[in-house]
Amino acid sequence: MNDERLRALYQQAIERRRPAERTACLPPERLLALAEGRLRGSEAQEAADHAMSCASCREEYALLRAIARVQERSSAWSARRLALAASIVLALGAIVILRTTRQRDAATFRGSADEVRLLAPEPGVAPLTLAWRSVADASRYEVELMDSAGMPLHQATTRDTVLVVPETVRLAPGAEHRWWVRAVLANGREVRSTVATFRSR
Amino acid sequence: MADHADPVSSSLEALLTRFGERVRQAGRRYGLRGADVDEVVQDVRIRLWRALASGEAIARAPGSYVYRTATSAALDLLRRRRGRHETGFDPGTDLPEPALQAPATAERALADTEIAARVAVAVDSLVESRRAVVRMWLAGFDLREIMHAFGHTEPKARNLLYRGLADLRARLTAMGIGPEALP
Repeated sequence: MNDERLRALYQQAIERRRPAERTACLPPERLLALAEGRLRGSEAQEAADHAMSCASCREEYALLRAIARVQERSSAWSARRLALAASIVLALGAIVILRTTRQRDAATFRGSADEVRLLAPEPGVAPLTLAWRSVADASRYEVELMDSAGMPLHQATTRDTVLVVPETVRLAPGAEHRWWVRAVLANGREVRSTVATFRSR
Repeated sequence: MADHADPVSSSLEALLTRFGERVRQAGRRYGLRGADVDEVVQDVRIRLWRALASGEAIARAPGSYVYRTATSAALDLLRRRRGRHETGFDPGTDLPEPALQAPATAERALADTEIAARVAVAVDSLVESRRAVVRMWLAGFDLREIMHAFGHTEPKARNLLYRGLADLRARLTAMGIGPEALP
């Protein structure tokens, strides 16, 4: 006997057993609890045992179950949409953080395009070496070293971000000196550093 | 009924059309009668109309609110029917399975009736834990529905169902209803 035949025979049997009175039937609220999956263990077994052997209760269960299923699917869809929205927000957040981090890292490594960041000279190292962060799209850097009064001691242009000051440039011992860098970008725009100071030995 | 151009009516009709169609679609697998859905939807229409007086409120009504309203309407429908001793079954439209509805011969119909009665007796004799699961399956609900109703995992539901059906077939065979008895 195949499954469909067995089902048809069973449904015919419970139809013939359809009760004239509903006194022994499950209350509608109990059917609803079963339809919503709120019963467990022996409660669910007892409720289903009756509901599925009584044609009237089975029909009522079908109605309540169909309504409950619509709600379940709607909730599941809402949950999926919520999860999707959360995933999108997380992904966008991750992208923003990643990009910000990368930009910051790049700015730290290359320097930003808005300014030239100078690095403090290593004290006591000879020859004097001036260094700065690279600037995006910089085609060259112009460096100026001055004494404490602002008089130029040395000027140079380089494509590098390091300048070794020739030993011929005499720095007053123990005096404060100033220097700054101007980056000339490929588009002709100029970006300047602030004026930094250091004390010579 | 108000004119459909009325925003309240338009919103309500759109909501109920969508909801009713979903219930009908979900109910088809359970052999649900369309008339029951129509009756519930009509009741939901009246309740939402009274509770949500504006089209905007209806359009904004969350699914859970509509669900609670529909559930409440369905419960009231069942109570009313029980109170009037109605079964909701109409022999004129609620026909049994086609294979049983038009048997080739009167003898075959009688044989089917007898066998169906024995099937019911055999199901009654199954052990309790398997019986409810087998009943549900025989009543037209699939494994997923069984899992939902009992809170079983799929392996547990499958195990109970397969063992229960095997028991049932063994009992039917013992009663003289084997595969050869029913072509």
